[in-house]
Amino acid sequence: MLVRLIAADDSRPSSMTERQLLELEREALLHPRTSSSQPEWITLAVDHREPRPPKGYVVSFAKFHHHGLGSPPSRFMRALCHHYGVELQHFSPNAITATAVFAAVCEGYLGMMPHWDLWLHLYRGELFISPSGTAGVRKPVRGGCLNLVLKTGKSEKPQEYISVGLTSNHAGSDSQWFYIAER
Amino acid sequence: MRNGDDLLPSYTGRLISERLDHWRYGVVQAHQSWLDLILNALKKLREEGLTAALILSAVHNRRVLPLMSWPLRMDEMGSGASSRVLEACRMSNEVPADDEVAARVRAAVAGDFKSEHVNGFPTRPDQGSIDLVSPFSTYGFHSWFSSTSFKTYLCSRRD
Repeated sequence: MLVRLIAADDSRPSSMTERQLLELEREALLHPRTSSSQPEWITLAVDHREPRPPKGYVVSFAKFHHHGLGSPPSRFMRALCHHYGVELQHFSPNAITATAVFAAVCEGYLGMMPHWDLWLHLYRGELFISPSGTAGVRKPVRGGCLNLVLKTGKSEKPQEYISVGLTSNHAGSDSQWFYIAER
Repeated sequence: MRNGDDLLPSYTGRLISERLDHWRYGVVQAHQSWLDLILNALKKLREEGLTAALILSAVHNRRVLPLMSWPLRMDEMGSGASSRVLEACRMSNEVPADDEVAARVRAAVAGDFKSEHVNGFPTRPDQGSIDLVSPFSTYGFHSWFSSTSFKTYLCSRRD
Protein backbone atom coordinates (compact mmCIF):
# COMPACT_ATOMS: atom_id res chain seq x y z
CA MET A 1 0.00 0.00 0.00
CA LEU A 2 1.29 3.44 -0.84
CA VAL A 3 1.91 5.49 2.26
CA ARG A 4 1.59 9.26 2.17
CA LEU A 5 3.54 11.42 4.57
CA ILE A 6 2.05 14.53 6.12
CA ALA A 7 3.64 17.26 8.21
CA ALA A 8 4.87 16.21 11.63
CA ASP A 9 3.25 17.51 14.78
CA ASP A 10 5.07 20.09 16.82
CA SER A 11 6.98 18.79 19.81
CA ARG A 12 4.91 18.13 22.89
CA PRO A 13 5.53 20.59 25.72
CA SER A 14 7.78 19.16 28.40
CA SER A 15 6.12 17.99 31.56
CA MET A 16 9.40 17.45 33.43
CA THR A 17 9.82 19.36 36.65
CA GLU A 18 12.91 19.89 38.76
CA ARG A 19 11.31 17.66 41.38
CA GLN A 20 11.05 14.76 38.91
CA LEU A 21 14.65 15.23 37.82
CA LEU A 22 15.81 15.23 41.44
CA GLU A 23 13.84 12.02 41.89
CA LEU A 24 15.79 10.50 38.97
CA GLU A 25 18.95 11.59 40.78
CA ARG A 26 17.74 9.96 44.00
CA GLU A 27 17.07 6.72 42.10
CA ALA A 28 20.69 6.85 40.87
CA LEU A 29 19.53 7.13 37.25
CA LEU A 30 20.77 10.66 36.66
CA HIS A 31 24.18 11.99 37.62
CA PRO A 32 24.04 14.59 40.39
CA ARG A 33 24.91 18.11 39.30
CA THR A 34 28.55 18.73 40.18
CA SER A 35 29.28 21.96 38.31
CA SER A 36 27.58 25.31 38.66
CA SER A 37 29.04 26.61 35.39
CA GLN A 38 27.96 23.61 33.27
CA PRO A 39 25.80 21.28 35.36
CA GLU A 40 25.17 17.76 34.03
CA TRP A 41 21.49 18.53 33.53
CA ILE A 42 19.30 21.59 33.68
CA THR A 43 15.65 22.15 34.40
CA LEU A 44 13.28 23.86 32.03
CA ALA A 45 11.14 26.89 32.56
CA VAL A 46 7.59 26.01 33.53
CA ASP A 47 5.50 25.03 30.49
CA HIS A 48 8.54 24.86 28.22
CA ARG A 49 6.85 24.21 24.90
CA GLU A 50 9.59 23.64 22.35
CA PRO A 51 13.15 22.30 22.74
CA ARG A 52 15.70 25.09 22.54
CA PRO A 53 18.70 23.75 24.46
CA PRO A 54 21.39 26.29 25.36
CA LYS A 55 24.88 25.87 23.89
CA GLY A 56 26.54 22.76 25.25
CA TYR A 57 23.28 20.90 25.92
CA VAL A 58 21.10 18.42 24.02
CA VAL A 59 17.59 17.09 24.44
CA SER A 60 17.15 13.88 26.41
CA PHE A 61 14.13 11.97 27.72
CA ALA A 62 13.58 10.66 31.25
CA LYS A 63 12.93 7.21 29.81
CA PHE A 64 16.42 7.11 28.29
CA HIS A 65 17.89 7.38 31.78
CA HIS A 66 15.59 4.69 33.14
CA HIS A 67 16.93 2.47 30.35
CA GLY A 68 20.67 2.98 30.84
CA LEU A 69 21.78 6.35 29.43
CA GLY A 70 24.05 8.44 31.64
CA SER A 71 25.67 11.83 31.48
CA PRO A 72 28.32 12.15 30.16
CA PRO A 73 27.25 9.56 27.55
CA SER A 74 29.61 6.71 26.73
CA ARG A 75 31.84 6.74 23.67
CA PHE A 76 29.71 3.96 22.15
CA MET A 77 26.57 6.10 22.48
CA ARG A 78 28.31 9.01 20.81
CA ALA A 79 29.60 6.74 18.06
CA LEU A 80 26.06 5.52 17.34
CA CYS A 81 24.82 9.11 16.95
CA HIS A 82 27.55 9.82 14.43
CA HIS A 83 27.20 6.52 12.57
CA TYR A 84 23.43 6.83 12.06
CA GLY A 85 23.67 10.61 11.53
CA VAL A 86 21.11 11.39 14.22
CA GLU A 87 20.78 13.49 17.35
CA LEU A 88 20.12 12.03 20.79
CA GLN A 89 16.38 12.79 20.73
CA HIS A 90 16.01 10.77 17.52
CA PHE A 91 16.58 7.44 19.34
CA SER A 92 13.47 5.56 20.40
CA PRO A 93 13.29 4.42 24.06
CA ASN A 94 13.73 0.80 22.91
CA ALA A 95 16.76 1.78 20.82
CA ILE A 96 18.35 3.09 24.01
CA THR A 97 17.48 -0.13 25.86
CA ALA A 98 18.87 -2.31 23.06
CA THR A 99 22.06 -0.26 23.05
CA ALA A 100 22.42 -0.43 26.84
CA VAL A 101 21.90 -4.20 26.83
CA PHE A 102 24.48 -4.62 24.06
CA ALA A 103 27.04 -2.50 25.94
CA ALA A 104 26.43 -4.51 29.11
CA VAL A 105 26.79 -7.82 27.23
CA CYS A 106 30.15 -6.71 25.84
CA GLU A 107 31.55 -5.21 29.04
CA GLY A 108 29.92 -7.32 31.73
CA TYR A 109 29.81 -10.77 30.12
CA LEU A 110 32.26 -10.85 27.19
CA GLY A 111 34.83 -8.65 28.95
CA MET A 112 35.52 -6.17 26.16
CA MET A 113 34.52 -2.71 25.02
CA PRO A 114 31.29 -2.55 22.97
CA HIS A 115 32.35 -4.17 19.74
CA TRP A 116 31.55 -2.09 16.66
CA ASP A 117 31.58 -4.89 14.07
CA LEU A 118 29.45 -7.08 16.32
CA TRP A 119 26.93 -4.25 16.58
CA LEU A 120 26.78 -3.83 12.80
CA HIS A 121 26.46 -7.60 12.39
CA LEU A 122 23.50 -7.85 14.79
CA TYR A 123 21.55 -4.60 14.45
CA ARG A 124 20.04 -2.36 11.79
CA GLY A 125 18.25 0.96 11.99
CA GLU A 126 14.59 1.37 11.08
CA LEU A 127 12.52 4.54 10.81
CA PHE A 128 9.45 4.94 12.96
CA ILE A 129 6.72 7.01 11.34
CA SER A 130 3.61 7.58 13.40
CA PRO A 131 0.11 6.64 12.18
CA SER A 132 -1.98 9.75 11.57
CA GLY A 133 -5.39 8.21 12.21
CA THR A 134 -6.15 8.08 8.47
CA ALA A 135 -5.44 4.87 6.55
CA GLY A 136 -2.38 5.14 4.33
CA VAL A 137 -1.28 8.43 5.85
CA ARG A 138 1.62 8.64 8.29
CA LYS A 139 3.65 11.44 9.76
CA PRO A 140 7.28 11.66 10.79
CA VAL A 141 8.04 12.22 14.45
CA ARG A 142 10.49 14.71 15.93
CA GLY A 143 11.71 12.38 18.68
CA GLY A 144 12.09 8.60 18.78
CA CYS A 145 12.21 8.04 15.02
CA LEU A 146 15.23 5.70 15.04
CA ASN A 147 14.49 2.14 16.08
CA LEU A 148 17.42 -0.24 16.41
CA VAL A 149 16.26 -3.77 15.71
CA LEU A 150 17.91 -7.15 15.51
CA LYS A 151 18.59 -8.46 12.03
CA THR A 152 16.30 -11.42 11.69
CA GLY A 153 15.45 -11.49 7.98
CA LYS A 154 15.98 -14.53 5.76
CA SER A 155 19.11 -13.03 4.26
CA GLU A 156 20.39 -12.01 7.67
CA LYS A 157 21.79 -14.01 10.57
CA PRO A 158 18.99 -14.93 12.97
CA GLN A 159 19.29 -16.37 16.46
CA GLU A 160 22.86 -15.38 17.11
CA TYR A 161 22.11 -13.08 20.01
CA ILE A 162 20.40 -13.34 23.36
CA SER A 163 16.65 -12.92 23.82
CA VAL A 164 15.76 -9.20 23.73
CA GLY A 165 11.99 -8.76 24.05
CA LEU A 166 11.32 -5.10 24.82
CA THR A 167 8.18 -3.36 25.99
CA SER A 168 5.91 -1.56 23.55
CA ASN A 169 4.42 0.70 26.23
CA HIS A 170 6.01 4.13 26.16
CA ALA A 171 2.89 6.20 26.78
CA GLY A 172 3.62 9.77 27.78
CA SER A 173 7.37 9.44 27.45
CA ASP A 174 7.58 11.96 24.57
CA SER A 175 6.67 14.83 26.88
CA GLN A 176 9.30 13.95 29.48
CA TRP A 177 12.20 15.78 27.90
CA PHE A 178 14.87 17.97 29.41
CA TYR A 179 18.46 18.99 28.72
CA ILE A 180 21.72 17.18 29.48
CA ALA A 181 25.26 18.36 28.86
CA GLU A 182 26.62 17.09 25.54
CA ARG A 183 29.94 16.03 27.05
CA MET B 1 34.14 5.83 14.79
CA ARG B 2 33.57 9.46 13.90
CA ASN B 3 33.27 10.86 17.39
CA GLY B 4 36.73 12.18 17.92
CA ASP B 5 35.48 15.50 19.26
CA ASP B 6 34.01 13.74 22.31
CA LEU B 7 30.64 15.42 21.88
CA LEU B 8 27.15 14.34 21.07
CA PRO B 9 25.84 15.93 17.88
CA SER B 10 24.35 19.34 18.66
CA TYR B 11 20.59 19.71 18.73
CA THR B 12 19.06 21.08 15.53
CA GLY B 13 15.55 19.64 15.81
CA ARG B 14 15.96 18.10 12.35
CA LEU B 15 13.05 15.99 11.16
CA ILE B 16 13.96 12.62 9.61
CA SER B 17 11.31 11.40 7.19
CA GLU B 18 13.06 8.52 5.44
CA ARG B 19 15.39 5.73 6.41
CA LEU B 20 18.97 6.33 5.36
CA ASP B 21 20.74 3.60 3.38
CA HIS B 22 23.60 3.18 5.83
CA TRP B 23 21.21 2.38 8.69
CA ARG B 24 21.27 -1.18 7.32
CA TYR B 25 24.98 -1.52 6.76
CA GLY B 26 26.61 -4.67 8.09
CA VAL B 27 30.17 -5.76 8.63
CA VAL B 28 32.53 -5.71 5.70
CA GLN B 29 33.17 -9.25 4.49
CA ALA B 30 36.85 -9.16 5.43
CA HIS B 31 36.00 -8.71 9.10
CA GLN B 32 33.20 -11.27 9.29
CA SER B 33 35.50 -14.15 10.24
CA TRP B 34 36.80 -12.21 13.25
CA LEU B 35 33.33 -12.33 14.76
CA ASP B 36 33.09 -16.11 14.94
CA LEU B 37 34.75 -16.38 18.34
CA ILE B 38 32.49 -13.71 19.81
CA LEU B 39 29.39 -15.28 18.28
CA ASN B 40 30.37 -18.61 19.83
CA ALA B 41 30.67 -16.90 23.21
CA LEU B 42 27.25 -15.30 22.72
CA LYS B 43 25.85 -18.74 21.89
CA LYS B 44 27.16 -20.03 25.21
CA LEU B 45 25.59 -17.10 27.09
CA ARG B 46 22.29 -17.66 25.30
CA GLU B 47 22.31 -21.37 26.05
CA GLU B 48 22.99 -20.61 29.72
CA GLY B 49 19.79 -18.53 29.74
CA LEU B 50 21.03 -14.95 29.56
CA THR B 51 18.27 -12.51 28.57
CA ALA B 52 17.91 -8.74 28.30
CA ALA B 53 15.85 -8.75 31.50
CA LEU B 54 18.59 -10.50 33.48
CA ILE B 55 21.21 -8.14 32.07
CA LEU B 56 19.21 -5.06 33.03
CA SER B 57 18.64 -6.43 36.53
CA ALA B 58 22.37 -7.03 36.91
CA VAL B 59 23.36 -3.50 35.86
CA HIS B 60 20.73 -1.87 38.08
CA ASN B 61 21.89 -4.07 40.93
CA ARG B 62 25.46 -2.88 40.31
CA ARG B 63 24.31 0.77 40.09
CA VAL B 64 25.97 1.24 36.71
CA LEU B 65 24.44 2.94 33.66
CA PRO B 66 25.77 1.05 30.60
CA LEU B 67 25.63 4.12 28.34
CA MET B 68 27.57 6.42 30.63
CA SER B 69 31.25 7.24 30.38
CA TRP B 70 33.05 5.52 33.29
CA PRO B 71 36.68 5.33 34.40
CA LEU B 72 36.56 1.51 34.14
CA ARG B 73 34.90 -1.09 31.96
CA MET B 74 32.19 -3.03 33.78
CA ASP B 75 34.25 -6.23 34.08
CA GLU B 76 37.14 -4.22 35.54
CA MET B 77 35.05 -2.97 38.46
CA GLY B 78 36.27 -5.66 40.82
CA SER B 79 38.35 -5.97 43.94
CA GLY B 80 41.53 -5.21 41.98
CA ALA B 81 40.46 -1.62 41.38
CA SER B 82 40.99 1.12 43.93
CA SER B 83 38.01 1.90 46.14
CA ARG B 84 38.10 5.55 45.05
CA VAL B 85 37.84 4.60 41.37
CA LEU B 86 35.16 2.03 42.13
CA GLU B 87 33.15 4.66 43.95
CA ALA B 88 33.44 6.93 40.89
CA CYS B 89 32.05 4.09 38.76
CA ARG B 90 28.80 3.74 40.66
CA MET B 91 25.75 5.94 40.63
CA SER B 92 25.03 5.28 44.30
CA ASN B 93 26.54 3.75 47.42
CA GLU B 94 23.32 1.92 48.23
CA VAL B 95 22.20 -1.23 46.43
CA PRO B 96 18.56 -0.75 45.35
CA ALA B 97 15.95 -3.15 46.70
CA ASP B 98 15.17 -6.17 44.51
CA ASP B 99 11.56 -5.02 44.15
CA GLU B 100 12.72 -1.68 42.81
CA VAL B 101 15.14 -3.30 40.36
CA ALA B 102 12.44 -5.71 39.15
CA ALA B 103 10.05 -2.80 38.56
CA ARG B 104 12.69 -1.01 36.48
CA VAL B 105 13.25 -4.16 34.42
CA ARG B 106 9.51 -4.65 33.84
CA ALA B 107 9.31 -1.06 32.54
CA ALA B 108 11.85 -1.89 29.86
CA VAL B 109 11.16 -5.46 28.72
CA ALA B 110 8.14 -7.40 27.56
CA GLY B 111 6.62 -9.92 29.93
CA ASP B 112 6.92 -10.36 33.66
CA PHE B 113 10.09 -10.20 35.73
CA LYS B 114 10.08 -11.21 39.37
CA SER B 115 12.28 -9.78 42.09
CA GLU B 116 13.71 -13.23 42.95
CA HIS B 117 15.38 -13.25 39.52
CA VAL B 118 17.28 -10.00 40.13
CA ASN B 119 21.00 -10.50 39.44
CA GLY B 120 20.33 -14.13 38.57
CA PHE B 121 23.07 -13.90 35.96
CA PRO B 122 25.81 -11.73 37.51
CA THR B 123 28.21 -9.72 35.39
CA ARG B 124 31.97 -10.20 35.51
CA PRO B 125 33.85 -10.07 37.82
CA ASP B 126 31.12 -10.76 40.43
CA GLN B 127 30.89 -14.12 42.11
CA GLY B 128 28.74 -16.48 40.04
CA SER B 129 29.52 -14.82 36.70
CA ILE B 130 29.96 -17.21 33.80
CA ASP B 131 33.40 -18.40 32.75
CA LEU B 132 33.85 -18.04 29.01
CA VAL B 133 37.37 -19.39 29.00
CA SER B 134 36.68 -23.10 29.25
CA PRO B 135 34.86 -23.53 25.91
CA PHE B 136 38.01 -22.22 24.22
CA SER B 137 40.55 -24.14 26.21
CA THR B 138 43.21 -24.13 23.53
CA TYR B 139 42.93 -20.39 23.02
CA GLY B 140 41.05 -18.71 25.85
CA PHE B 141 38.39 -16.19 24.94
CA HIS B 142 39.58 -13.44 27.26
CA SER B 143 43.23 -14.05 26.46
CA TRP B 144 42.37 -13.64 22.79
CA PHE B 145 41.02 -10.16 23.46
CA SER B 146 44.28 -9.12 25.04
CA SER B 147 46.35 -10.78 22.32
CA THR B 148 48.49 -8.97 19.78
CA SER B 149 46.37 -10.26 16.91
CA PHE B 150 43.19 -8.76 18.36
CA LYS B 151 44.89 -5.44 19.05
CA THR B 152 46.16 -5.41 15.48
CA TYR B 153 42.61 -6.03 14.32
CA LEU B 154 41.27 -3.15 16.43
CA CYS B 155 43.95 -0.79 15.13
CA SER B 156 43.03 -1.69 11.59
CA ARG B 157 39.41 -0.74 12.35
CA ARG B 158 40.10 2.84 13.46
CA ASP B 159 38.72 5.34 10.95
